[in-house]
Amino acid sequence: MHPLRKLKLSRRTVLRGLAGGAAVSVALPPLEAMLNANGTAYANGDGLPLRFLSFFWGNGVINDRFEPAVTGPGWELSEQLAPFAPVKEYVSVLTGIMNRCANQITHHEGMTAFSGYTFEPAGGPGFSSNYGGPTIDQVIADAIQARVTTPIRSMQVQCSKGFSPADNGTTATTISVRGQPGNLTPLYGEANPVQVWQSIFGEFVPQPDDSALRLSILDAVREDADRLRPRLGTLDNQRLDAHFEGLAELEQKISTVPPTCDLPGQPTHTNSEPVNSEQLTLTMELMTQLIAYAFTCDITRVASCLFLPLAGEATFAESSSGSSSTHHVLSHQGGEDYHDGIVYIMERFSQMLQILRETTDVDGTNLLDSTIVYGSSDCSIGWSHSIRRQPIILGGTGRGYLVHPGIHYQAVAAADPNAGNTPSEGNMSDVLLSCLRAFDPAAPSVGGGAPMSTTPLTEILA
Amino acid sequence: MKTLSSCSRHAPALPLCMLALSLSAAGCRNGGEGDGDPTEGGTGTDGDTEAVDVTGDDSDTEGTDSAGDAEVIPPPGGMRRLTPSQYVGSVEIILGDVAAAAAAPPPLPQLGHFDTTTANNEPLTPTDIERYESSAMAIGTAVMSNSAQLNAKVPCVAAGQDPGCYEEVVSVIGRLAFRRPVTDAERTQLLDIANAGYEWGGNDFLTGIKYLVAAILQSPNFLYVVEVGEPTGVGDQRQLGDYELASRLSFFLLGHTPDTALLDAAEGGQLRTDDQIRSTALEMLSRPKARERLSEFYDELYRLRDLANKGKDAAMFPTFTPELAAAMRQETLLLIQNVVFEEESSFMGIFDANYTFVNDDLAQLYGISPPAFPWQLVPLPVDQGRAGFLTHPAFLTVFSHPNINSPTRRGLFVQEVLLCTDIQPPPPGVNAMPPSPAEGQTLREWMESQHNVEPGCATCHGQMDPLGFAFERFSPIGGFRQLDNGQPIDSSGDVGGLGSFGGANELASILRNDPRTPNCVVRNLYRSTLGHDEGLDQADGLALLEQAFTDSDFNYKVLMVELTVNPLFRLVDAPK
Repeated sequence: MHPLRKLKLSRRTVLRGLAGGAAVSVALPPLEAMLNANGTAYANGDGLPLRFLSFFWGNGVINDRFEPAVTGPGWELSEQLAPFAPVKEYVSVLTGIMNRCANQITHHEGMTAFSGYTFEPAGGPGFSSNYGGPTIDQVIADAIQARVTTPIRSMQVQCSKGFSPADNGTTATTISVRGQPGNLTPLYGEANPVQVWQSIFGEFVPQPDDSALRLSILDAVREDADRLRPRLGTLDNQRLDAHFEGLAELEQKISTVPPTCDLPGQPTHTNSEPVNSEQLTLTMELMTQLIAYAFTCDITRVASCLFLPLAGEATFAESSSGSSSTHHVLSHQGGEDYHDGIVYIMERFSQMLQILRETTDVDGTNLLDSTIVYGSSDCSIGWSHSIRRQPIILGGTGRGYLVHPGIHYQAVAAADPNAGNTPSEGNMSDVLLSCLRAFDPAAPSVGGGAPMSTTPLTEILA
Repeated sequence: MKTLSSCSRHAPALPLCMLALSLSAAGCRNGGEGDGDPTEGGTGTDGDTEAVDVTGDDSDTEGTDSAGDAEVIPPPGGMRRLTPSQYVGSVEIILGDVAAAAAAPPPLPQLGHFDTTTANNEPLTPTDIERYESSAMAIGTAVMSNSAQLNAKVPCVAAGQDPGCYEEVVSVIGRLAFRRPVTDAERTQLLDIANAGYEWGGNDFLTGIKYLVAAILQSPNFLYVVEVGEPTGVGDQRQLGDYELASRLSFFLLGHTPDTALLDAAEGGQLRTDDQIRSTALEMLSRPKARERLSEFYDELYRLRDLANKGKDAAMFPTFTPELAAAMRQETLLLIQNVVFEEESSFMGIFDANYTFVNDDLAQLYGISPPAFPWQLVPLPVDQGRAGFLTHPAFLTVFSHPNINSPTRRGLFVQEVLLCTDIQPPPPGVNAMPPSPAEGQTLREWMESQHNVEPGCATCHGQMDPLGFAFERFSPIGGFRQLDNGQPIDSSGDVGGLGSFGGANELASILRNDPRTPNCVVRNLYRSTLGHDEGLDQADGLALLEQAFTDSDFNYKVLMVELTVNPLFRLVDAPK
């Protein structure tokens, strides 16, 4: 009857595409030992883990087929939100909100939804820009690490590899950037599930413990770098700072106690197909399973998932239209094939939420109960590149922080949400600040410049 | 001045723009401020002579004794991360091919400029650090389980059990990996790790080797190439040291760390005079690795590597398989190799060659008879209006949409990559649309109806689209076609600064004979080699190269050799 008895780390959710063998077991400290008598917190006084997951898809939605007709708790799923039916109680949809990015080069301004900063134009061919500041997942990771150290600070995964050939710079390449404006380190999503497994779990496969040796090598690396520093200029010293941050994280991982769970088997699917025949359904399922394992094992509490890159040029061979055009091309045509592609993306997003809900956490709840999922795109409507009424989808409750069951919050109604001059109000960054405060209640703001927020959106809170 | 005025146009982002100048000045060069389209064709030619003009003012006679004389400000010194292929290639030189097979360095992000620019400027991420560690450990394990190749370099390893041998390994392997002798402090540190590994492994000699190798390969002295030189007394100018120059030569021409012989030459002071450097470079160019290196560069510059991940509409192009895509890439690389290494003929020949190399798949795509053997040299089907690599399926496939051509992307490539003309990025608020011609409308008609109507579009698209129209007789996978959407194709054009042409073959001749083309070949080589986008400060140095290239009738080997003695190559500015 103890909630812990329910813990079955997914012997049943065996990863598809697994390598033949069973899951790798490591010597486990008894889980009970880690919790207090009521099973409501870690015995060391730290609260049970709260997690954050950001999800991104390129090329927007069709607003008038996406936005639900009714607002508030009584909302109903729209045509494009229909895939969320199995998890609707855990979902809130936010529409009509203003993206206050102060610059525009199509698609790039949409990414302000993940950072609260205006992008910085970058040299380079085509449409090129870099993030103006850190992204929300990394700000949250900073907040978490200020209190507790997990073996891995954050994980970044990517599903489709269909990068736009016309877009460049970090804005077009990732949804995870850490650091401060002026000194940012982009973190790129890993698209190969085998590599994700290796970097999340590979460290915990039982092997002779050579951690002291490996740590002494890292010490030597630092000494070598320190000897280099005086000969180098400012930029290269900043790059060595980033190198040191990486060393610190690796040290943390090497020194960490093995997680209190079984490791999942290693996937075999490498997601290496060309961009017109990617197996995105399988890839997304595997990536979510890996995230779910990493969360439940408390290896990390922050993940980002880039499903389709900005202005992404992938073909959704598995969407119901079966169109052989890329989703970006379809988004400009605005027809049924584009709609089908959006529905396909929403199915994947819903699939992610469903897997989280099916995963039992250490205290017997499910992962949606302890996670805040934040999803958005690079524009509102694909064919116009508008960022007016750019959609946000929230999932999970974050241990009772977000409203449950979910609502449809609409900042301002619109007669025609697809129109070029359709209204939008408020500030998308308010939603980011709401998310951040779940992790850092004292956080004063998110972002900078025009899109900065100091006022969380309270309507979405419990 | 031109550069600066163009930069200050982005007033709100001035600091960034200054930064962009040193990182990748693409958006800042040739700024067409308010000067609009009519002059743009003209500035093409003028703009290009500007580098030469500057040299003319200085009236340098000939580029003798290059490192000292020319008035150049070289690119900044500093450290560059090894690219993934430099990492693997270096491990092969240091520890052998068994070790290299275990190497798994993290990839470089693709940010829209040269890999070397990324390697020169971007920070490593925590994931990168982790992957460098696991790669180093895997290589250590590979060496431990197969030490024969290490024996070949350090004979005492064969004896097996003497920890005293670690010192020898540090000297030999450390020197190769760090590209200079190991210092005492580094030696002590590495020996401590080797001995700790020895003890941890139950007094096992090879376990110590494993951790020693892993430590060497994680050192910033291996992962970053440091090029800071010694002050020359002229401004912030610094001259690369012997070892630094050896590294630069080796990575440029061979793509890997200097081998023992080259390090010996550096140590013996044999890389000092222009003649010494030239003969060293020429010797390197005779090696197979030099061909691989050149292919790697053109793989990147011409985006041939994009073919591996390129998707095409399967219903329209059922023959477009990964094998065909790989063959396309191979074809263009073979043409370049043939011109540079086999014939040593004018490099300009790649723009209008009347021959090519095919396998069965490509012959079928061209609609010609299958070759007698794969990669036979065959006449290009000139009756299809083909000439040179721009009419190869590789270029035509990379620069098109999955289901329709992209004259804009094809034209942009010609302007930016072949002529080094910067096209300003699309203005804010532009609505970039993939083409969607109506029934019975050619793609050209559709694009002209879109881009010529709005002056804001026409200014830039007028420089790209008409060049792209020259290739309209070729499909998104480079097949020949007579009709587009059922209509006859007009592949003629007249582009300011270039002239008029009837189709791709005539455009090829124009490009071959335009003086900007060879100068742009020089600039691309410079940008990639040094990971730096040139500014006016580099004009004198580049003018020397352009002259040498022209004087040699565009012999590419001469160009590469002359780059190695150019002050831009031998000097650096203050560390960045």
